[in-house]
Amino acid sequence: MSPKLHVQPDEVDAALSRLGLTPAPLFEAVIAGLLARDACTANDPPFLPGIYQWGKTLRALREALAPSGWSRSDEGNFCTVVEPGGSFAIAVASGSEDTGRVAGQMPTTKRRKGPSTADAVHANAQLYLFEEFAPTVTSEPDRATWVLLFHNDTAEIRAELSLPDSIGDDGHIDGWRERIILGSRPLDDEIVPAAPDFGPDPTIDVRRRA
Amino acid sequence: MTRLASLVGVTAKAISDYEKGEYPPSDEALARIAAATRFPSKFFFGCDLHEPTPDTASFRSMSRMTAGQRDAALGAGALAFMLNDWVESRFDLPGPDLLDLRDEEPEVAASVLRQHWGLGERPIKNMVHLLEAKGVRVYSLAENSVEVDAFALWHSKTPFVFVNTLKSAEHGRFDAAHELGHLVLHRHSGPHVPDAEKQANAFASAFLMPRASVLANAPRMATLRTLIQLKKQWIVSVAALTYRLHALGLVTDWHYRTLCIEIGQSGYRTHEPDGAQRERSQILARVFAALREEGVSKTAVAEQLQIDVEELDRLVFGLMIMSLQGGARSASSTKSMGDHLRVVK
Repeated sequence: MSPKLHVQPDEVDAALSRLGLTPAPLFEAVIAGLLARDACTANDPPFLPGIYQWGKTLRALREALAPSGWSRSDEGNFCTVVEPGGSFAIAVASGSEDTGRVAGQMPTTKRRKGPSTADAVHANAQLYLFEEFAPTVTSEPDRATWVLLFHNDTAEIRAELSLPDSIGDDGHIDGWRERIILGSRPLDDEIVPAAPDFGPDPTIDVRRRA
Repeated sequence: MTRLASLVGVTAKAISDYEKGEYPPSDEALARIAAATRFPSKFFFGCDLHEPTPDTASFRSMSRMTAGQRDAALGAGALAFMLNDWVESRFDLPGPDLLDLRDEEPEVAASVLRQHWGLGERPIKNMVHLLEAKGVRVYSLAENSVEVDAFALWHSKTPFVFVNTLKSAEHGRFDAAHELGHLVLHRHSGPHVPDAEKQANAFASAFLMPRASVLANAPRMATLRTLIQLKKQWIVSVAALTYRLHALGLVTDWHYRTLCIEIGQSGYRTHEPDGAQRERSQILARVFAALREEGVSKTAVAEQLQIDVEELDRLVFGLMIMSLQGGARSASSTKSMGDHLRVVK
């Protein structure tokens, strides 16, 4: 089943507002993660930038939403931020290059996820199965889990907030029920400035007095 | 004064009386004063120094300094005047070519001075050389006053800038531009006008990183990785470039705050990443090279000035590549004192 897509700004705003959100804190969290990643140097271990980016994106999101009453959950090392009513949560993950794009393949998470993520995705699937086939059921045993998915290449960083409903045996989330496309921001690949066009370096005349 | 008295082994009143000229110190006391202050005894009988005062000098971090540090810095200033007078009596140096821009906003003042000097929008290759070419004398702060950033002052019609050469090259360039700001913005008002430091910072920022030049080279997404590459365009610190991008509206408040945190966490406020080469004085190099050719060593210059060669070294520290010839630094200060100490009767 193809996911419900929100692409145009007014659609995006409406979809987010249903969740009590606006685009700004979501994308700012994504940028915060990027800034943390780019603060790493060649002396950091190679896997650190990725972990750093993920961790700081999550932290920035939690910090941005805390004043609105959102809380954190690290249950089973599945790290999310939970909306004040507890009915849904947001996790953070890096995604494949199809992240934030409408054309092309369905995005997948880049890294293999653990059993807690699988449980959450299965719960999503269950939850919405109930909604479709037994709309009278009101008790919700599980909360829904959205994923703030980001992807950066050399040219830009893209993000979307999406509701997963399928995870492969390989541990990658590969199916989505709803996708809210948050857009992109351009990045600089290598800014190695061409030799700066310096002004003249004056030669100072120092003459011995007679 | 109390400390000097205890070092010399006399009362504080005695020191005060020596100062006022009530009575001269004994030969023995004089020798101990010379040893304690590391000035040759002859120094204390030289003509009166034109010592800079806190009112005429601009200090960036006056509030952070102890009175002792401030006085030490000003004392170094007095020695620099002596050295400079000595040099100028023997060499023709460029005269001052500064403007009085006290009525201008710092951003405008920086632009006006750039136009006056024909710099356009281009980055400045060497701040020390530029200042020297425009008639500003550049000396080093005493080695032992790390807490003092830099200061500027006028000695009659000659502008002086003292830079702290222990800081990074980028920091040194910013300090030099900051002090240039004081020289053109605050010449007659003194440095103690409200916001003088802020104005000098804004001037330095605009002088080193002209608006149009930054707009033409601005990153699409400012991250530490891109800023560390980009800062080489203007030879500024990553922190100074970040500040400038924010001041020009090229990064949002939120983005700026986040970058500042990353800069702090990365330790880049104290250790500049991928730093540039320190700037050196062209005038001092040429003057001392010319003297050397005439067979005049640095030690000989110090003797003529009646100061210890180490004091002379401090004035040029970091601005010159130290030559061993004639100016070899002694293993210990007491030993070098021994070479010069002559009690004048």
